[in-house]
Amino acid sequence: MEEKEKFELVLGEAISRMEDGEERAAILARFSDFQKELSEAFQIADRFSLLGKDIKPEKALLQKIIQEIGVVTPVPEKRFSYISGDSKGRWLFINPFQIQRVMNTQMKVLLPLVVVVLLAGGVYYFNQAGSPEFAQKNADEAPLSQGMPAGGDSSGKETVATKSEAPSTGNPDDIVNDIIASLAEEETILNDANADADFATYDSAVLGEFGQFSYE
Amino acid sequence: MNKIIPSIVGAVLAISPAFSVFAQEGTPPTAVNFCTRISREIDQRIGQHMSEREAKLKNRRAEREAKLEERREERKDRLGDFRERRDERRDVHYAKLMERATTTAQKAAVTAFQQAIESAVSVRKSAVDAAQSAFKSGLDTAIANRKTAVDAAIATLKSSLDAAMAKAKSDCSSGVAPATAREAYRTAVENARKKFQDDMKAAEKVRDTVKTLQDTRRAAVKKAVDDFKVAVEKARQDLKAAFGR
Repeated sequence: MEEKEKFELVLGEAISRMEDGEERAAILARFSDFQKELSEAFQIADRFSLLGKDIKPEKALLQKIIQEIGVVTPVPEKRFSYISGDSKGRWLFINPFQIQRVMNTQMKVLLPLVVVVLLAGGVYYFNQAGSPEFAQKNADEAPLSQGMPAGGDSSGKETVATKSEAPSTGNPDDIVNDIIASLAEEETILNDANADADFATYDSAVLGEFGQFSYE
Repeated sequence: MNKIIPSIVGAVLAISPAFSVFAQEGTPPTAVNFCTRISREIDQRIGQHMSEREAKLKNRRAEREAKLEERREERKDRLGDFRERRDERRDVHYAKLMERATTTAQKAAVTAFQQAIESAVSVRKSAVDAAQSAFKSGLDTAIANRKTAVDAAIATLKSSLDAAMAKAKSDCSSGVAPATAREAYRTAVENARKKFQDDMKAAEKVRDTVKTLQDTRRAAVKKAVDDFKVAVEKARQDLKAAFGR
């Protein structure tokens, strides 16, 4: 266990004992190895009134706060809802009227702007993802063994072969699958020849008319 | 009044032979007019019919030849483009493989892989081209044979019709009853028509020939593709073995 972790445990134990009413001196004596660190911790705790002492702000600071409140409250639009004595809940750090104004005016501009920026970012990202450079980068990062099946049967991979337009990954399986997948396109072209057979009887309809005459 | 009745009787007796002609049992007017119509109407109409159909057949055949040639050329171009694209594509694959091969053994394996694939591609191309060529020439032969058979059938039909027409004209001019001449002509024409229809049925058997050609081509292409897949699979396994997979 590292020193830091040990101290965290000791500190937790020390705070627990303090809360149980044990004297600081006794605690420091108990954890003699961390006396210095614990002393500093106690000082910090004292400072932030963690031990029940109130922190009293300076008189000048309080006067300044009161003055600022005095400037704000006479203006109706700037009155905060928490000023009233019966106000409850979280304090607002902005005037509700300002919120309303922002929503009504600035947000009309800002919101579409944000949407446009997000859309532009998305388009840029997907364009990058589809670009050869992006694929090249990914391919470079991919290990040579990626996609290699453990066994010899790879017939099932034919159906998921890469498109001919996709950049080469340098992966043997991708390459072989790509080669095999291309056969389908070739077969489509070759099979088109089958339709030529229809031309053998292309004149059948005309020939049928030869015997259709009247001798009356 | 005494002169009127004998005049009527005499007139009736005078024209009675004409009535006897119309009174022939069951003979339609067309049969009666056959001999007068056969030379200037029936002969001309059938001759025109045959000429029009022959011209139409000639156009149809020219259209077939043009369309078939167009399809073949278009397919040849497509196949050529496809093969050129695939050749380039494989070159890219080989380069990429070689780029990723790190050891001498792996580079040698890539070279062997490339040779195996190219050899398989070459064998497949030859086999496929042979199958396509055999189908093409077989189809051309079938079409030519059918054309010969059809032309012979048409010639037979025409000569049969001409003979029937000549016989009818001869019968009419030699005093054979029009109905008899017409019946003989009708029988001859029907026989000629039946013969032509039989010849056409025989010519339509080209479909069987073409079907055989199609099956043969399809089987040959399938075998070429299957053989290619086997060769490519072997090349894949050899390559992967070289890479220790």
